[in-house]
Amino acid sequence: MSHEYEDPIDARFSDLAQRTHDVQARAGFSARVMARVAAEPRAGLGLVRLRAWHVLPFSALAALSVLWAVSASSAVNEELAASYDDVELEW
Amino acid sequence: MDKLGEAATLVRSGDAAAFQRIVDATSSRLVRLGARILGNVADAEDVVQEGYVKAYKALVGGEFDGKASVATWLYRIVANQAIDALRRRQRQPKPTDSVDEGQSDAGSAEEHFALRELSEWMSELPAEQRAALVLKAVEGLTSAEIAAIMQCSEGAVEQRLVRARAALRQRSLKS
Repeated sequence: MSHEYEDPIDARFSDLAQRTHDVQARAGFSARVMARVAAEPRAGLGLVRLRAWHVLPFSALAALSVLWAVSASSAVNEELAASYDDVELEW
Repeated sequence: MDKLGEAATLVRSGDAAAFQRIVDATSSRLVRLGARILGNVADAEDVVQEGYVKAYKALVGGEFDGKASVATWLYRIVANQAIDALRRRQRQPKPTDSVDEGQSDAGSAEEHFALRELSEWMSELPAEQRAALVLKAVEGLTSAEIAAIMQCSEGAVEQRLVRARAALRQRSLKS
């Protein structure tokens, strides 16, 4: 099927979309992802019971780090917290 | 609930292997999205992998609210990861706009050159404009969908698209 584009920019994008349509990950990508995911500690595991005064300085540091990260990060983190919108993409 | 939603529920309940189903069903499109925004498959794989890790943590932590499908949610995560990667790249630009010179990527030479052409054509655009243009003109999303991904108004998306097109038009006049 061919399209007539008045705008050469649209025509070029259409061409590039077609030419990149079959781009895919390199072999073994899925396995690498799963290995990376498997290396992530599950929330709640590996916690060591410590007295509060052992934890307090680290907690304060962690809290400051979180505040900094929240202020510095972009939209990605908000994406993770919620899907928040009813605009559904075709898949 | 679709199959990916069911897999997400299993992951949330502790079945890490169920995440494989999510990866298998979504990785092709997500890597293609990342490659189109970033210009090469290697960088795309990096952002998609990090996107999966963040998504996995969010699922395990019960942070995914399920309002959107898992596929749509992942698409948004990866799109924003790619935009962040673009921003970082533009703060520390590389001479070749990080387009790999070799043929180590998957796929044909034609796909490799098309990704490079796309990346170089848009290399002077700010990250937000470049991403908006790829999502609209290459991925075929609507302005409403792009606004949801970029967390801005549709008007802001339209403005980015107009400016990006004007810059590309200006560039073609110069060359």
